[in-house]
Amino acid sequence: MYPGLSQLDYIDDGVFAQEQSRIFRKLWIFAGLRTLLDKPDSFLTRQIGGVPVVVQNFDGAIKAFRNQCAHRQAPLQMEEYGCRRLVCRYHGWSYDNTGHVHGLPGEHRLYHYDDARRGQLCLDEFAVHCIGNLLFVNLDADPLPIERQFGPALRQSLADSSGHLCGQAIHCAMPAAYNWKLNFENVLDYNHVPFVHPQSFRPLMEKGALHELSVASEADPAQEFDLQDLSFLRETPLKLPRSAWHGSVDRFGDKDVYYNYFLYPNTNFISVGGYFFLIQQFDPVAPARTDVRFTLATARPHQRMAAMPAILWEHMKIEKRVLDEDRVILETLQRGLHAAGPVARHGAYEVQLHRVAMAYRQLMGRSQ
Amino acid sequence: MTQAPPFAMALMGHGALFDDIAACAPALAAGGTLRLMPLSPEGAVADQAMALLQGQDPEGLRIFTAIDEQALNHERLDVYARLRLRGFRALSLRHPSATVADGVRIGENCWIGARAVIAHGVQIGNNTVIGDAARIEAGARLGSNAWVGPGASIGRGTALGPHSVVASDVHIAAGLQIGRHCVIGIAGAYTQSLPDGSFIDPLFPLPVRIYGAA
Repeated sequence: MYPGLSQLDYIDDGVFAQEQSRIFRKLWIFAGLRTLLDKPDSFLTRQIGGVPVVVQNFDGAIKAFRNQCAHRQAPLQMEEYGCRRLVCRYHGWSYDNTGHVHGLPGEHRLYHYDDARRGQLCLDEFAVHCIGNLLFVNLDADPLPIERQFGPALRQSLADSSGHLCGQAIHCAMPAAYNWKLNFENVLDYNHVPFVHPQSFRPLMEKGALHELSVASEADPAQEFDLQDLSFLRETPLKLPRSAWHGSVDRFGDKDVYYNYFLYPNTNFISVGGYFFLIQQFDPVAPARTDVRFTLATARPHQRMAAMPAILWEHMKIEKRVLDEDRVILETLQRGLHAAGPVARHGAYEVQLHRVAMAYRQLMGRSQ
Repeated sequence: MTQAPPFAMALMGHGALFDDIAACAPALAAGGTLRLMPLSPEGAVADQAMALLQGQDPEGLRIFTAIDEQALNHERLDVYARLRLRGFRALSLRHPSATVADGVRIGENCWIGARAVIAHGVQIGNNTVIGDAARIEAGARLGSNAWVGPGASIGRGTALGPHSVVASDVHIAAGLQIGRHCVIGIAGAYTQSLPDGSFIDPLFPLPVRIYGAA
């Protein structure tokens, strides 16, 4: 039996603030899809570790900056995705691809900055890395090499699979009243599927793929871990119903498999049979508040598919209903958590949850 | 006495729209008859439709395809488009109690429901459904393959994009642009335009958006 985290870790404001600085402002965090930043001036905005971030295409170069004007901290871009030069809407300051102020309307009439101060007018820049079509951002001034977070085989597999993504995607954010860690643990825990999703998700799984599965009893897992071990791919055989549009896309792979990539700390990249892809991300907002973000796209079509918006919308509704089945459990679980409550008691099949708990303690600077 | 039209008429489809129109079929047939050709919602609906029309003379039959708004009206479009490709002509139907101003342009395979009011200068594309008691105000433009639910209203001069769905009791203000492939699925008043691929639906607490191009 492996102990999980303390209940305090899911409810405490101080712990939450530490997570933001020690995990979300230290590790590589999934920021969005490269396919949606194809055009010059296309951008996306995010909050990562409590920091507003804009990721923008400057003539093909993807850059990430703090999404606050150097003048009065107004947001430079406001929509989640869009296409617009990096210009503050408040007083019109514009920025170049290094984050320096390019144009400052009324500069000589109104501001009178000397050269030294003018040179300091720039945005904080953050590290960006693309794995295939997945964009990751790291807010740390001395970012961890991404190779230390995601191993070479995983990076190659992510590049191959996400390389099949279509350039159109459907996206939504859904507020949930639970701690972000509960959702990441939930997706790692395949044993909940037959109990929580008996009608929605379970019927897609091949017999024997889930709750009939048994795991070997093993000694306690190693007390040391490698950060890379927290992110991995799990493949589960699927009984995939055929849709008419499946023949119109450039499928990833040729197996009827549920490709499930766990990307620590808070992202789950899924491909259903290589035909469509779902990214679930669990964005921390407060100890008991998470924004669950879904981005869903099909594999690249061979030619224009007029029904693509309908396909995306119908699939998004299905995924939301599955999430709602989890949400009922997790929100109720969250409401029952209290500081003196017992820790989770993980069994042998939950070895990944145990590794995540160990990693969490280490990242938070605690002893095991 | 109304003279029967010189062609046979058929109502083909399934779901609530089909049932509602079938219920008033005698009043719609203008002295002729409206044959009912129900389809099953299970399986390939367009294939069923083609099988039912096997051996029929396209010249002698006009068909209205009545399928609800699922898949952003693509299921209805699939059947309607397939039968047009086979050479059949499509009907548009209006309930006798609907009020349609002179000069309104209505495409084919459109339905105007009971007590609906369509004001002057309105343009409605092909394969669009206007529900019972809906109100389309002057100069509004509704794209093809759209759906306006019962009791909804589209304000003066507003444009509703193709494949968009406006649910029952949704009221869209004047002068707005509602893009292609939009769903407004929560009853209420809307006063802002929506870009293509915007979805406001009771299943989602916040609007859902489609980004990028396929």
